[in-house]
This record gives sequence, C-alpha cells and structure tokens, in this order.
Amino acid sequence: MMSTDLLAIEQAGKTFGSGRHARPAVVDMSLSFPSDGARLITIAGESGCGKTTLALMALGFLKPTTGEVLYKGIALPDLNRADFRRFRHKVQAVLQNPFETFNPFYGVSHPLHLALRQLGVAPRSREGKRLMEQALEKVRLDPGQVLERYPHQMSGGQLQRVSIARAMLFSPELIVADEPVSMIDASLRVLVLRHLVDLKVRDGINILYITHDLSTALQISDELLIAHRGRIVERGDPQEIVDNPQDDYTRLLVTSVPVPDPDQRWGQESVPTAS
Amino acid sequence: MTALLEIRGLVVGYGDAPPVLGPIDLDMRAGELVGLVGESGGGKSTLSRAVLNDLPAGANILEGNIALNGVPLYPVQPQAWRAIRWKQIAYVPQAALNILNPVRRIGAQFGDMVADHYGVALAGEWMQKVIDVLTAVRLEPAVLRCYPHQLSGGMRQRVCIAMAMLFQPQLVVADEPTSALDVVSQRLVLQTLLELRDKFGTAILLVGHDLAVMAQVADRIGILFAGQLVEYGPARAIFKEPAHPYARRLLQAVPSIRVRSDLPEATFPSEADRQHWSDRSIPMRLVGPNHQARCETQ
Repeated sequence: MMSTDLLAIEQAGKTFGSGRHARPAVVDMSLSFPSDGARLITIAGESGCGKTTLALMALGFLKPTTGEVLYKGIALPDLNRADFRRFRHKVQAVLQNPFETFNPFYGVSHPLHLALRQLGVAPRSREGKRLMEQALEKVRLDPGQVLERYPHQMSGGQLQRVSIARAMLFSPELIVADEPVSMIDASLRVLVLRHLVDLKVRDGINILYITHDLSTALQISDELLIAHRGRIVERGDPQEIVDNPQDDYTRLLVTSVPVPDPDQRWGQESVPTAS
Repeated sequence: MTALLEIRGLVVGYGDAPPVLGPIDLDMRAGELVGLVGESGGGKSTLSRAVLNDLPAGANILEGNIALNGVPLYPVQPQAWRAIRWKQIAYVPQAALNILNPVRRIGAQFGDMVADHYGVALAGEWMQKVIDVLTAVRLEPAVLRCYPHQLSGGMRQRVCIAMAMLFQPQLVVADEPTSALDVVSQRLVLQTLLELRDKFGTAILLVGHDLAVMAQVADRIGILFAGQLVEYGPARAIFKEPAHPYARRLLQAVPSIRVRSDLPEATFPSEADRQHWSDRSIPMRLVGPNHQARCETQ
C-alpha cells in the first residue's frame, strides 16, 4: 500500500465559508512523498489557485474539509502526541515573506534559539552553538556576522537562508517552501533556490516547492503539478509539461513565461482578461 | 531624430554623502520603450524618480539636468511642473493597491484627475475618454463603480495604466509594474502597455529587474550597476553581444523556460568585481551601432 509514504495528501479539499458563501479553495488535490529517496515536487499556479492552502494543509496548519493528510501512513488528527510532535519537527516550513516571519524586536538568532529549546538543547550551551553554526554554514552564512543582527539589518535573501537554517536544526524529512523567493531580489533568488536543491541532493530532504515561477520549477523539480482554480489540472515530468502542455491553462501559463530572447517575443494572440 | 528625453550628466546624492547615482547620460526617443535593469540599490528607481521630479526626501540633483523636448526640467518651476506632470509625464506605480485610494470608487479617482488638471467634472466628453482608455486596457466601464479591493492585482494595475494614459502623455514611467503579478497577468499588462504605446506614440521608461521581460518588450535596454549606467543599447544587441561583465552575469542568471539544464549561477558579484565595475574613471564607449558600454577596450 501507499501508506508507507513519508507524507501523503489524499484527495484533500478545503472550502472556506459555508452555504451561500462557500468558496472551495482546494478541490481533490493529491500528492505524495515516498519514503525512499528525496524528491522535489513543485506546485505552480497563479495567485488564488489554492497552492498556499495546500501548503498549509501539508504542514498541518489547516484541516482539510474532505480527504486527508497522512504522515507515515497515519492521518494527522490520529497521530498521538509524541508522533504529532515528531511530525511538527520533521516537516518544516519556509514561508513567503521573510520580513514578516521574523519578529523585528528580536535578533535573528531568536527563532534559532526557540528551535533549539524545542529540541531540548540549551541555546547558549556549547552543543547549541555548534548546532546553530552547523546549520548556518549549510546555507553559507557566517554565524559570527549573522547571529548578532536584527532582521532589518539583513537582506531578504539572507533572512530566507536563516529560515532554512532554522528548519535544518530539526534534521527535517520534508521542507514546505511557500514562494520562498518571490519577495526577494532577483539576483538572490537563484542563490536561495540553490540551497533548497542542495538540501535535497546533499542532505536527502524532500522539498514541496510552491511557486508561480515556471522557469525555476522546470530547472529544479522532479515532479511538476499545475494548479488552477483549486484543482490540479496537469502533473508529470517538468520538461514534458513545458514542451507539450495538455491543458489549456497550462499552455497559457507556459506561453506567458517571458523568454529571454528578443527574437522570440509573445505572439499577438489574445490573453483571456477574466483573471 | 531629436530626443524626447535627454538626461545629461545627472548626479543625484543625499547631502554631503558620496552621490548614489551618476553621472548618467541617457536619451529616449518618442514612442520608444526603454528598459532599465539592475540590482536593488543600483540606482534604477532613483533615476526614474528624478525623471518624475519625485526624488526621496533628502535626495538632490547635484549636477546635470534632464530635458523634455529640449526644455530643462530642473530647477523645478512649480507652475511649469503642474503642466508637465501627468499631462506630459505620467507614472505607473509598482504596487497598485497602495496607490489607489481604498475608500473611493475607481470612477471618483478618475474624476479627481480630470477636476484637478482641467477643472471640469467627469461627464460627457471626458467620460467618453475614460471609457475609451479603460477599453484600451481591456477593462469594462463597470470597474468605475468598483472599489480597488474588488479588482484583482492585474486589473488594478491596468486601472493605473489607464489613469496614466488618460491625458495621452508623451512619456510614461513604469516602475516594476508587474513584479507583484503572476505570469499570465504580467503578460496582459505588458501587452497592454505596448498597445497603448503603438496607439498614442507614448514613450515608456520601464524599470524592472527581469531581463526576460525586457527581452519581450524593450526597444533599448539600459543596465545600471552601483549608480552607473554600465551598458545601454538595442535589446537585441544587449542579448546577443553583451559587453559589460555585469550585463553578461545578469544574462547568465536568467533561467530558461525551454530546456532543463540546471539553475543558473548566482549573480552575486564578488567584492573585487564590485570594486572594478563601479570604477567611475572608465568611460562609456561605443561597442556597436547605437550600443555603448562602460568597459575597457579589448
């Protein structure tokens, strides 16, 4: 059975509101991370397609209205206390806006200290310092420079790398990265994405990458899912999807990605305005 | 052809601190779409705000000037600027949600513009002009009755474009107009800008960081680094024969949507490169037809 998957989302749906105001954000979405070998799965789609709702369900922050999310074969609500705690540690998040995820009143070391306490390690102990340094070095940040700073003294790319380092403290099995680079400077985006790929290749961590950027998705994903209006409209090998999109929306998405070549400009075919 | 916009030896700085921008020399022709790219803090926003006479508090033009149709914009004559602003130079902002008034309907906000610049109410002929310009950005006249939050990000951005185009200005400065939009809306907004350019002959100064977008829409591209224009030339020449090392680095960093290879290398320049590229003593020189770059002779 598939119940041995590390994390499985099975026909999950989420509807906000009820009755006349019911608004289905996610309908029947399924995906799974097998427990053997790390994978990078991307969900791509425009704003409002349900991709963030799905990420929140995968993280256990939102309960699906239909279907379920299973961690090692057990639905999240059925996990006992110890297992749920383990799930919380092993499935980590890197969220969209680093300027909102860090508390401006604390130094950037604060979230790292909280993570260490969760793990039962005193942040100021030799062990705690070693773990923090190790995690920061994995994302090529200099611990001496970073730990004394406040969020406003750092760039978005640096903060996102601290977020990744914080997640790394838990030796996670899966990182859910919800638009991790959309708020940061273009020249730093590749850098942060490279670290995500490193996590998969070097540390064997699964990644759920949520994005609207099809170009980077093509470069780094093992499996690509295209979401539109709450549904997965197409899924499969990234190159296959980009070369030969089957769904109308996917085709629109693929042809709308700007090609960096002045000799291959967008055609004059009309773009639906109903968005 | 004479230039619509001429920037000559422009230097911008904050007080006595070293200048943050310039000296910049740049020309724009009528009906031309010029893209400005570069890293954050590279000076592209400062340059565009100097053109709009909207420099951040404390920033001043230390040297040089900007001329529109041969008439210098600085020193600022407040009365003259009232005639230029929006009628000759208009602006499309980055975050349309923050610019539109959240508690007034779109129609009322168009009304303010017409009342302010022409002293008349939004009716009759002007109403027809507003409807025409909304149609041109592919919006229904019904949006006039909407509040900004009832529209999607792409629609709000197109409302802002319609506002900028209403008086048929000669120049529109668009500061990252699509960075908050998904690719489908981005394409629609940019194609709308191009259509309006063709229809009204408006020149567009498009500020952005996405070179792929510039490849799609720009006639000429200027690349800024550390407050200097390091390369300026026709889009095709920039993509086929980039001359400045920073330009080459930027181009390599654009991920392909065609072929799966690997992530491009990060564009983060080393400290040595940074020092070298911001050397102000290296002059701009011609490296191709209409194509100049700030680099040493090979």
